[in-house]
Amino acid sequence: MSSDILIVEDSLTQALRLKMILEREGLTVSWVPNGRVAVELATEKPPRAVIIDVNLPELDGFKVCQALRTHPATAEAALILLTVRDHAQDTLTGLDAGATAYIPKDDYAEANLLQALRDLAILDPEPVEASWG
Amino acid sequence: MAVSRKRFELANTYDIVQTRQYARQMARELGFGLSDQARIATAISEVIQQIIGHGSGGEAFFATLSDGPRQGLECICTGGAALAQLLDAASSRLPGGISRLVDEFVLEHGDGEEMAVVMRKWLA
Repeated sequence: MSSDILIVEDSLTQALRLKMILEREGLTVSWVPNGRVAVELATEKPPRAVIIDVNLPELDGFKVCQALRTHPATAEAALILLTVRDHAQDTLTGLDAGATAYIPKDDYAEANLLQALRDLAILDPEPVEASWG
Repeated sequence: MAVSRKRFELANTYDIVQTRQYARQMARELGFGLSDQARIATAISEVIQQIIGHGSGGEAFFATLSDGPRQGLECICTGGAALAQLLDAASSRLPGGISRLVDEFVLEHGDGEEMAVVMRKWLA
């Protein structure tokens, strides 16, 4: 059976933390630490969303994104890049590769990730209050 | 027409994260999609990194824009004189330049050595 979410992250601590947060939201979560394996697994059992680090062994996150976006089984999946790489070139490369969202790993990463999953209707929405007014 | 909403002082690296997050939230609440939220937040973050990296400090001002039925987001970042050179290099580094992330990217000269970067993104 497919999971709701596939995490592609080579840091064990970050992967486990993310998995715990998402499972707490009621999602089923799989995790792989390797880009090539992620593409094999996701195209075989497509998840609703793939959360992808950029710096990965064998196949980097941009290439994972491109491979999944161009594969018929995962062409419509939400692809979320979650990375420490926050420069303009990185964001453009990620979005050009087909990423649905590009989220930097900063203090707000988890909140932004959950918000993106709500906006994608993978999580139920929360009432929104304007915070910038 | 621009309506001012928020001002941030830019002095240290934590200000990059705070201002970037504000930009992302404001973009979302204006109705920008996830990819445009990333484009806006990254452009503003990169400009602020240049300002703080140069050591001059500065400010960021956010505003909502309206032009008939069109709505948009504006961020004006100010910094010292060397900002022009730094940003010129950054903005021309195609295809990964900051200017590709927003609809309008303009450098303005203020009084004395102060420089400003005006970034605007419009809802499609």
